[in-house]
Amino acid sequence: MEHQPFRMWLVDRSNLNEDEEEILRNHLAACTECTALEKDLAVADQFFLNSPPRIPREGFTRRFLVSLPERKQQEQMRQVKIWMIGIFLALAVNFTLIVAASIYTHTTTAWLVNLVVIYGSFLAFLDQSSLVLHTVSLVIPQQVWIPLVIAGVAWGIAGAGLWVWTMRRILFSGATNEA
Amino acid sequence: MSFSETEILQKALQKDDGAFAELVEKYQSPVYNLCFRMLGSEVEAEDAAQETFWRAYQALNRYDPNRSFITWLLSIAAHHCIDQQRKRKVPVIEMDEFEDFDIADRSPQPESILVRSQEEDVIAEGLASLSELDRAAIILRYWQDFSEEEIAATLSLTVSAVKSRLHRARLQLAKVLKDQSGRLFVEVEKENYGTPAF
Repeated sequence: MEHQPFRMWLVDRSNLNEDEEEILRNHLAACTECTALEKDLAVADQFFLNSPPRIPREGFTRRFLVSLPERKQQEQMRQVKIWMIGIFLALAVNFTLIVAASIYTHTTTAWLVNLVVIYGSFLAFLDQSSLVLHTVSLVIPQQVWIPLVIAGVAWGIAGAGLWVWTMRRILFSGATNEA
Repeated sequence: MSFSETEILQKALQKDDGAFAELVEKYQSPVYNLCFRMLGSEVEAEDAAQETFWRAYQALNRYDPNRSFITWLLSIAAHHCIDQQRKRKVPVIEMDEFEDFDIADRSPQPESILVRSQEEDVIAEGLASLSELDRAAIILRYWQDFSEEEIAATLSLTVSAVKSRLHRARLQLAKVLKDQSGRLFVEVEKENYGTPAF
């Protein structure tokens, strides 16, 4: 005996129209296999529908609230780490591209020449910087520029220190306004 | 959605942790039940349910108020559990779930507890025999009484895909239950009379 589409109809019986329902009933009257399936499905539905839902242990909400500050902090740390990795990657890519564009050649000799040129440019930058400082020292009296230079260096060191301390705090403690 | 729930959601959207706690209190059972039925372990279900509420907390500003909150929440839970299942290499077996069957423990137990425990085993076995998505669909159908449209929205599937999955899952569960029904009866008889001879 052919059991399809009756097996499919049995599983999805609520969507049958009147004619289909009538055909199914006639088939069930003659087919013991499909009748057995109908019974099995009904028993399974009843069994699972009567199974009570599982409930969590007492204090679920309290446990969630207790874990909330730690989760927030972990999420902040995760975001800061992603942000910093992004910045470092962007800087590394930029640096690599600049260097690659500067020294990209087909021969080793030309590559070495380019490297020397880049080094030369760096020396020229230092040279120009010292020239500017020398000119400034001529214009501004020594009693003024020496304290100014010392203050500038101290300011730079303090700024770098503050940056390092802040980054360390963000990385290890997370960015939070909480005390 | 009831008026009070809308109010609570509004407060929760303004980062009111107390209001969100009310949502956790209200929906912890359906979320935990879904996680437990999906993962089959109390410890994992607790973690998954907590994670679900944390994800909902973070994503609350992306919640569409026109959508049912429980559907949205269970969608997060179901997808998280499916991910957990796929990551899981070795099935986790919790020893405390077998305490009712400890061979050394022969103290008499109420029959109802034993039957309930065996029924839970059959449920777990049936659900474990399904694929993750079939399992999620049938859990939402049986324990949440979700319509096919609601299941489709929760699991990001089409309605026809849900019908097909429910169809397959119901047949499979009926088969498992039929195979196990004899064992259920024998276990209860053994407990009552001491030997299977009775």
